[in-house]
Order: sequence, then structure tokens, then C-alpha cells
Amino acid sequence: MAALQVNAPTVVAEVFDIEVVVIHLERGTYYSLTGAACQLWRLLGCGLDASGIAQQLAALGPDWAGSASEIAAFLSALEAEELVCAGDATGSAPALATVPYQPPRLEKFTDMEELIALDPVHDVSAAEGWPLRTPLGPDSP
Amino acid sequence: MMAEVLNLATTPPAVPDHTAFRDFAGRLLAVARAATAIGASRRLAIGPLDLTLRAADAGLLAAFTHGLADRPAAGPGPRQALTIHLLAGPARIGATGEQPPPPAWPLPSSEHQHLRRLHLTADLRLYAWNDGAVWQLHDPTSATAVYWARDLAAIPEWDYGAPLRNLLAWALHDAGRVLLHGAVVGDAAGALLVAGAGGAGKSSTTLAALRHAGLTTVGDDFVALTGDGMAEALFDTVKLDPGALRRLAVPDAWVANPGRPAGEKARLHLDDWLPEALVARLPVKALAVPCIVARPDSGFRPAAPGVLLRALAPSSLFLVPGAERQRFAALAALTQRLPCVTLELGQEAAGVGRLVAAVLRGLRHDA
Repeated sequence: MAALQVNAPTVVAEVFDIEVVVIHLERGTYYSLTGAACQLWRLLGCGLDASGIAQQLAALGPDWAGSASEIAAFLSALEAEELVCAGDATGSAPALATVPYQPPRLEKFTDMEELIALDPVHDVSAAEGWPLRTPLGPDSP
Repeated sequence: MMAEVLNLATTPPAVPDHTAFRDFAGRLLAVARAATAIGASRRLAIGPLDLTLRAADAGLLAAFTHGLADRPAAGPGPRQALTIHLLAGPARIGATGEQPPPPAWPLPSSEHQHLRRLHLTADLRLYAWNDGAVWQLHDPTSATAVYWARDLAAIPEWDYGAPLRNLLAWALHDAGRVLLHGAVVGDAAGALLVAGAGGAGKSSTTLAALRHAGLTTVGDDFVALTGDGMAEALFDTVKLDPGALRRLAVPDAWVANPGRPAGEKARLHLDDWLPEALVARLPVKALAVPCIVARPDSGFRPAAPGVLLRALAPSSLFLVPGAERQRFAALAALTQRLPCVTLELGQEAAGVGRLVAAVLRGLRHDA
């Protein structure tokens, strides 16, 4: 199986202690990921496939050991939402805090979709501009 | 002769071609400059921008100027000049020359059902709304921009509430600012950034705090944010729904758009009625998400930073195009760094004002 990573640059995310906030910039949808998803998200882009991620999480404690099928289903849901994708990113898995297992949960918000439904064409050379979400200029702030 | 200068309805090239965009934008800018060379003009200081507005139509100039917060903000980095040419209807150049407004997007396009057309690069930002009813162009190299509406009726209400929003956002980005969707209210010692979608209570919280707690604001809807957490004023407007107008007992005379279409919010201009309440800059010390409750009294409780980021980032990113990843990173850093609270807004307006003041006092005490 292919390694999984965040579907950048289309997707942006911020990891907090108890929640990951994720935005799909092209669809206008955004998400709140909670429970085991906070640990899971940190393992994306480390060169691990779905089973590798499940193995890493299973090592967090006895209550995580039986989570493999739930983790696999959750990763499939993230792929279906195009929040994660197969990729060739590599890296070492970060040390994860040992926390009690809570089933991963994904909450989807669609109240911004209407804005995106009016949104731009994707008709410009990738080398020259849109749809690349490149900086408008020098990095700031 | 002018038709040679501006052949906007050019035949699109068969394939997407950046040169075509650049060429089209250059001609758009040339005509706008010529059409506003003789007309009205006005200079304003908006955040870090020294803005010059030039318009062929004095009415359009006055309408847009009315919504801008003319207050220089002494922030980080040098001040930056920007000249915006404003047109509504045909461009009249000299005694005889006349050009119609720009056509519907004349450039390569694979999707025709969308209302917005956009082309963003580091050196050219071009945007057309509603099939070309409103065009916006920013050329940062020449510090020049164009706002060109098909006619006055084509200008949407939100462009009077937050005039030239996209053009300012792009220029502010170049000046190291992030334009965000939120209200900022407080005083020189510290301010709350109140986030939330339209109708969440940003404006009613702001106006209640101004009128009942003597606080100040840099805006109730869109503000600029510097890298060191200072919010800067861009617009002088406050927008309220009918319920908020009643709760806050806003005098009818304060409403600048009494004949607004059904569903549009009432628009107030702070410079007309509470000019001392609108200041150039405020330091953001905490983030708040409003929650309207049915009881009379107001209160607050801690909020998770993720809740604040969800209230702040999506509308900030999707209402203004460009640099989404950078702006998300800046907003995420803010939510990681500052305290977050939920404001429970009761039905009594004075209580809401007192609540904001109490939260700010509590932050100072904790600090």
C-alpha cells in the first residue's frame, strides 16, 4: 500500500491538543477531527501506509491495540473526502503522547460551499498562476 | 483611436496563455487611467496604505470613500502607495472617445457556469464578478488598481460596506498584513477579536461595546492584522440585522441604506455617528466566538482554540481570494498563541457591552 500524506496544497490543517482543524480550499468544506484523529494526523507524511499508521497507534497502549479496523475505516473516510492522499513523502514518525484511546471522529461543515460554488475557473497554466495557491508575493506575514 | 488602445473583446487564444492575461490587464489599466485623468480624486490613509482614489464619477468616489476608515496606522514597515481608478459605466476619454465596460471574461475558460473569474500571480491580480459586471485589477508593480463596474446598479451592497475589499487585501498582503473576517473591539491596552460567520453577533457585540462600555473598534467585519498581532482599521461601517437594530435601539437616522433590498443588513457609518469610537489600531489580546442566548444576561466561558480557528479561518479565506495557505497559517498561529473565549450574548445590549469590558479587564488581571 502507498504511504499516506496530507493532500497539500489543496488542504490546510492545524493540529491542536484535542482537535485537528482541516480546510479543503477547493471545495469550501472544513472539518473538525477529534479523538484518535489527533494522533493519527501527526503520522501523515511520514512514509507510513494505512497499516503502518495503525501499527504505530496500536503501540500507544492496550486500549489502542484493538483500534486497527476503526483507524483503517477512518483513513478511508479521510481519503474519500480528499483530505489525505497517497504520496511519496518520507520522514520519521514523531513521538506521540500516550493518551487514552477515543474513537476518531470527523465532523464536516459545508456552510462555506456556496461561496466556492461561485468560484474560479481553473484555466490557467500551472506554471503561471491559478489554480496554484502560491503566495501573492514574498512570504508575509 | 481609443479602440486601438483598448481592444478588450479580444479573441481568446486557443490555450491558456499568461501573456493574454497580462496584455488584457495592461489595456484595462490604460483605459482606466485615461478615463479618470480628469475627474475627482481623494487621498486617504488606510492602515499602512497611502491610498489615492481617482474617479470619473464624483458620486462613486463619495460612496466608496464613505465606507473607508481614513486613519493612518503607524505599523511595521514603510507606508505603501496605491492608486485605484474607479469607473462605473463606459469609460469616457476626452471629448469623443468612449469605451464600454470590460466584457465578460474574454480569456480562456473551461467552465462557464461560475460567477467569479480570477487570475492571481505575484505580479498581477485580476478578478471579475458576475460575468464581468464588476472588474478588479491590481498591478503591484505600478502600485495601481482598477475597480470598474458595468454601471452603478451592478455594484453589490457589500462593496459599499467594505469598499474595494479585494484590492485592499492584495495590497495589504504586500505590506505584510493579513485581511481577516472578524470584529475587533477594545482599547489601547487590549482588544478582543470576535470571529464568526455573518449573523453570529460580531457587529452587535461591537456596537454594544462602543455605546455601553465606551470601548473602541477597528472594524466589525473585516480588519487587517499585522504579524505582531495588531489589528488595523480599513472600513468605518457596521452592519446589523433587524433584530440587532431593535436590541441596540439604533436611531433610524443612523441607517445609511434605508431602501436596502430585503435580506440586506442595515449599514451604519461610524464616522457619521460615533467617529471617536473608530481608531486606527488595537492590539489583539484574545479571541472570542459569540453565541446568542435566549436569557437577558451575558456571560463567557473558555473556548477551545480549534473552535476559534473554525469560526475565523473559513470565512476569512473564502470571502477574499488569494494567499489562502499563508493566511491560514497566520490565523492558526494566532489561535495557538492567544486565549480563547465564548461570549454568551444575552438580550440586554448594555450587558453585552459590560461583558466585553469585563473580559478585557480579566485578561489584564491575568497578565
